[in-house]
Amino acid sequence: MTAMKLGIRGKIYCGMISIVLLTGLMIAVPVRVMVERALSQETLNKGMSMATTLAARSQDFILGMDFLYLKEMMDKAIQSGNDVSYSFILDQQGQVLSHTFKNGFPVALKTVNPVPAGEPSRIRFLDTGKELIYDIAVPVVIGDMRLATVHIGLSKTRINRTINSLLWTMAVLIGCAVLIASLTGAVFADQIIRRVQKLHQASEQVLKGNLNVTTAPGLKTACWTLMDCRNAECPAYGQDRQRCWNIEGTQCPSCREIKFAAKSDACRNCRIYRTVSGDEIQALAESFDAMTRSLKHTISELEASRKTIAESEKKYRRIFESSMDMVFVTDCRGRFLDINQTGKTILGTESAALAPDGFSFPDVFSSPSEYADIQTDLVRQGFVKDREFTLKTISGNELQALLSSSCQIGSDGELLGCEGIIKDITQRRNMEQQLLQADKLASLGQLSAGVAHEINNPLGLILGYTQLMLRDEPENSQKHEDLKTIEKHTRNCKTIVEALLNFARKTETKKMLVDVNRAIEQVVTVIRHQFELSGIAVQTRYDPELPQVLGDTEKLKQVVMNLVMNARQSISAAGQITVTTRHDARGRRVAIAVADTGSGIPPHVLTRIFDPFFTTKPTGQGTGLGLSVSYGIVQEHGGEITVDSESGKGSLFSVILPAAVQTG
Amino acid sequence: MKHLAILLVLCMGLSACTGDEPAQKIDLSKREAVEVRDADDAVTYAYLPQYSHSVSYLRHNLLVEYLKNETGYNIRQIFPDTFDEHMRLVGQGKVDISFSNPYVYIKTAHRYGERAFAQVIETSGHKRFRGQIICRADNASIQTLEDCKGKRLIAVDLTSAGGYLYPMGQFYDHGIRQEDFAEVRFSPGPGGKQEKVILAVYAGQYDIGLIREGALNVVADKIDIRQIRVVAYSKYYPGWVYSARKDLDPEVLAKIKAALFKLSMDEPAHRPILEKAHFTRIVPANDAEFDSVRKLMAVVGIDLDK
Repeated sequence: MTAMKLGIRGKIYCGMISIVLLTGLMIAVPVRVMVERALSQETLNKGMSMATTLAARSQDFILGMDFLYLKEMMDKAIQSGNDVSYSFILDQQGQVLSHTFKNGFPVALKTVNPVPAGEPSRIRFLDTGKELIYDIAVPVVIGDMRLATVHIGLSKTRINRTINSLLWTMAVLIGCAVLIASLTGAVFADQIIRRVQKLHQASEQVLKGNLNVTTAPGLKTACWTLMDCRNAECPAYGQDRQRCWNIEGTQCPSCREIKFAAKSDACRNCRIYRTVSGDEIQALAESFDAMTRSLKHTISELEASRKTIAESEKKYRRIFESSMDMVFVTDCRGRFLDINQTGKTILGTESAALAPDGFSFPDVFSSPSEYADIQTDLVRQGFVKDREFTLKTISGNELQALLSSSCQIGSDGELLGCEGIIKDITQRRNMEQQLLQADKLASLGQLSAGVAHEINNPLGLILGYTQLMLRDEPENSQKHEDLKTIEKHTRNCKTIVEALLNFARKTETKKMLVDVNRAIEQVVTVIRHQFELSGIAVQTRYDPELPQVLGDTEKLKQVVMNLVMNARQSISAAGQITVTTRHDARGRRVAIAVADTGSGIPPHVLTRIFDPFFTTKPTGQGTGLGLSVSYGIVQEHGGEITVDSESGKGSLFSVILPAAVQTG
Repeated sequence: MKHLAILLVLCMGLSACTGDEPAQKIDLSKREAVEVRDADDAVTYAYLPQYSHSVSYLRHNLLVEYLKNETGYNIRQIFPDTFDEHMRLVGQGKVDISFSNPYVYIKTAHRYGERAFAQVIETSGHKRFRGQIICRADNASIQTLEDCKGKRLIAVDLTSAGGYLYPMGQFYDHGIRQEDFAEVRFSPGPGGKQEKVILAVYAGQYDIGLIREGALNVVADKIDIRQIRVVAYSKYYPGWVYSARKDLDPEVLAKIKAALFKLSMDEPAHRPILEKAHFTRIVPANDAEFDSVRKLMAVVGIDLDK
């Protein structure tokens, strides 16, 4: 069973009733004891006085043996008060001289209360079974001679009745007092509860967010009227709801220098406070109102701050998210707390999550030793700047990246977390590599061109003189055969020299508008049949909207031929070669892609494939000039050639050429 | 609510507290009838009740006890309420030894044949004594016996010697008779009659009072006796007298007389007895010694047969 909880009203009732009951009890109990004692004492005094009087008055009658008069005296004594139960006189021999009992004298009374010699009196408390009796015995003494003893019996039961009657009267009075206390309590309780309920309702309104509540009543006397103040600059001036001690910046000389936080204490001694301050609930209501005002002000400031912070957060979030580099935040254990979109793209995560479970900052490093070095520097100096490392994506790809990071160190020197930026420099590195390659090829081209130019003329002379000599020698002669061999190899040399000159762009180029799709188709038509005999399928996917390019048709066809032949050579058995054209309208470029399903190019030779005379074929099967010549032709046409190859899966050669500018 | 309930229980509990002391159980059901005691066989000794019974008891109890021891008789003091009762008891033969004033003695001797056998020597050293006429000290209207005429008078008893007969004889000697007073009353009985006269005058209830000499000392502890003025003294007359019933056994009388005469202030054991009785000695006496009183009674007009 749930215990009933008392409200304030119940507590006030209980308190007042308790006070009245307790007060009544505190009065009733001692009063009862005092009254009982006083009544008992008074009764005993009365009895003692009566017995003493009887003893004095009975002397002569005892001496004169006037039993009738003695009897009258005894009877009168009994009639003198309701609480006198009996009286009797015993002589020195213990014989009854006179008594007031109607049916004989109780024998036990003769000896129950003897007065010892020399004692003036003796009181004995007796219980007859029907009532309680004080037996008061006073000797009848003449001089120092004791004649007899007078006994008076006073009923305590009758005293108790009187006391009980008194107690009942007090109980009724206390009951009336309780009733009055309850009524009075109701009046006070209603006042208090009404004010407390108002406060409660106001607090609920505040909880709901309504801070425009007022609980304290309007001021009957304001400080500015009390002080006859005319200072309109004082914030308390003209206020009819707020107490001046709840207002900041009041201008009274006595409180001008006091800070607001100290006002509640400092103002207690002020004359205004002593004059107009209300009771505790009033003070509570005023404090509550002051609190809501302060809260409202603080919330307004907080709202403004929050807006500022939100704008700042938005700005920095935009910077964070729009950064083209990976920006990240980790905890002390390297777990990613935040990664921007670029970061997610770099790491290769497509989910909304920052990173897969278990994938943390250390996992970004391809080499654990690199991470260890960087971590050591981070802890030691608190930051690292532009540290290049190989980044490993979630899918395992590797990228070249630059890391700048700072870490937060706790007061105890422990690592709290890190923030940093990772910049993907793979493309830049590739560009640098390509530039390096281009520089290298350019140098080779210049060298080759110089050599070819110097060799080309003697080769022409050799070929010329050889052909002249052939005329002079009969066919089928040994000499004729030798000269044919010289002519053949001289022609080979001349072909190589021409290729070198093409590579070095030293051959004449006749540029015109070229339909790339048509040029490719002409090449494919030549080789398709032969390739298919070897089990190699050649597919073409032409972009019908492909624009023309400005270039040398034959040279471009040579490039396509070289790429297709290379593809053919990379396919050891059956396979497929796909030639695709595509128009990059935005970049105004034409892309030609030659993909094969061959053996692919090992990574370690990937950077050398465009070098002149570099070949993976056995000696005598290739000159190593095909890709070099193609590279030179594409460069001559303002384009670029790239390769993407994976060993064992095939290669993709891409040629990008600028589209011809359409005129007219 | 729980606290309130506890408080109520506490109230009720404390209200039930009393300061009763332990009472002794007593059974009043066993009763007995109280017998009226008959007079025992004793020699009765009565002191004329000029004072209250208790004073009489105080003065003569030791003497009675002494007589018991000396004579071996069961001597019991009885207390008549009035002079008349004293005389009546004497007449009924219920008083064997009477200690009375000369007036009562003369009457009882005349009526019942009482025989005087001893007289007391009082603390004054005399066996005679006198009466006093008193008034309030501030009563300026009474300076001489003549001034007493027309005044209210109170006396001890018609049968009192010092308290009526002797001072009244003094008035008669000065030609003032009983009828000259506005009122003549006697002290109401029983007992304490000398004191009552003094107190009546002291209270202004009566203008003049007649008492025996020495009575003022008896009330000295009750009132300021300086407020009482003695207007005049009577002549000296014989003092109090011991008399015996006429048919009292002579042997008993002889033993009593011997014991009485034996008392001496020189005897340490007797001294408190005599002092209590206000005697210094008890001496033999005979009836002729009271003739002066008989004459005075005749002058005052007292009829011994009434």
